[in-house]
Amino acid sequence: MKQLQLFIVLLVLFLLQGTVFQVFSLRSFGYDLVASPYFILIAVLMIGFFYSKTVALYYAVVFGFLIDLVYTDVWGVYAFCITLTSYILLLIGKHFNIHIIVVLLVAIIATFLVDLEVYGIYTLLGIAKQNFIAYIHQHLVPTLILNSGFTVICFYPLRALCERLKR
Amino acid sequence: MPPFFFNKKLILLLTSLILLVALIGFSLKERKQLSWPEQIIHDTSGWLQVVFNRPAQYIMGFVENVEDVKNVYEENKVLKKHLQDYASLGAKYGDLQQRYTSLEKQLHINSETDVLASKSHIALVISRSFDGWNQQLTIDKGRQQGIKKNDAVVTADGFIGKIKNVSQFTSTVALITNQKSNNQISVKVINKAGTNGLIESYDSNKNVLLLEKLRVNSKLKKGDKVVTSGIGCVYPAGLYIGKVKSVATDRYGLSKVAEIKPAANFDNLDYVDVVGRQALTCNGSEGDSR
Repeated sequence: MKQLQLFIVLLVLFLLQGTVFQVFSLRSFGYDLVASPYFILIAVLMIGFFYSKTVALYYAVVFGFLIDLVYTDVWGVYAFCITLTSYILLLIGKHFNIHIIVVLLVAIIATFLVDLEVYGIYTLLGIAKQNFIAYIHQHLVPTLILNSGFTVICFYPLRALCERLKR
Repeated sequence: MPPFFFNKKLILLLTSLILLVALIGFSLKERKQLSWPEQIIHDTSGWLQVVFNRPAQYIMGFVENVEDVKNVYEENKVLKKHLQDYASLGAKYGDLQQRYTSLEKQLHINSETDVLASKSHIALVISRSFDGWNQQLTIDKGRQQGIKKNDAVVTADGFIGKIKNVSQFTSTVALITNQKSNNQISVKVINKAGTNGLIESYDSNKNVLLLEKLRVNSKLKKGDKVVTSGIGCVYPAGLYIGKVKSVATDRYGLSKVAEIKPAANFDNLDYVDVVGRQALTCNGSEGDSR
């Protein structure tokens, strides 16, 4: 029953990534920039910090694979990148005092790593054909800004939810 | 044996890497249709996505309307001019239609068996992949509504892509801006010479489609309109793709390459039209190669 609430929150974030945030994307307002939302990654990190690391990684695999199935046509890329990155960062983050600034920093590093990993794998497979400098300007920077904004917004509600579930 | 191999986490990492490569390899394979678990996942997430997407699209529509109000006056002037042309164009069309049918009758052509006949379904876009790399949409019509794999997808402005996967109630559209797929579309340039050709790829840096391997003496010029020709056996004839932006000789000087600017706007998609061929099915290789 406890898990169900987390599952629903993650499911809603997963759906928001592909629907609302694509209707209101930067491109639809005429900018040639792509900000890809990694809400699942950030929510998984928060769950790892405030609730349980094992549960977080378990959700990372499930929702990463769901992203692969629904939004892409190559399986496993997001599942692998999100799980690996959140595992490493949860290991490192354990040694810090959990404060909003620390979580924000961890989320920025995680977004940076996942975006870079996905770009790397897709370049190898021939799906992404943007050169590296253009990628940093048009993809990486807007993505980092969007996701850090999301982290600040969802920090308090998600922390409250996790702490309520833990009791 | 060094202690290296007893590290459980390392083994797990290596196993998952192998699994990743295997999964990528499996999913890149060309498949005829989706397996049923995939169809269930696609349809379920499709239904949930509608719930989130509809309100967002309404709000976006409202924002666009407010933007539009600003340039109503300018637009009205242009439209009035177009309307005057429309009457004469309508008369001309009626005349041509009449002549065409009478000629057809004289030649005893049975117009019932139109090999280029097509059928269209209006569908709602319910989601779009969120990274810039995968250019794909999900629409809310599937096999139950008569959508087939490789049907053409158009908007009011022009051609945007093809149906890639079909589930029971939703289907996935691969846009022509997808950088991976070879968008092979057999096209016709509308000018006096009537050049035929094959669009082979999309240049994402310039946002143009490339019409390659044209003869050196082919006469196309900037501004010519390009439509699908229908002779590639997959897409119906006469779907508008865009205008020729520039023509150049290729690297070796043996053929010409034309850049085509797509007419459709890929950024604000809400409703799309899925057009499938009805009569003729043959083993065309247009569009489905990888």
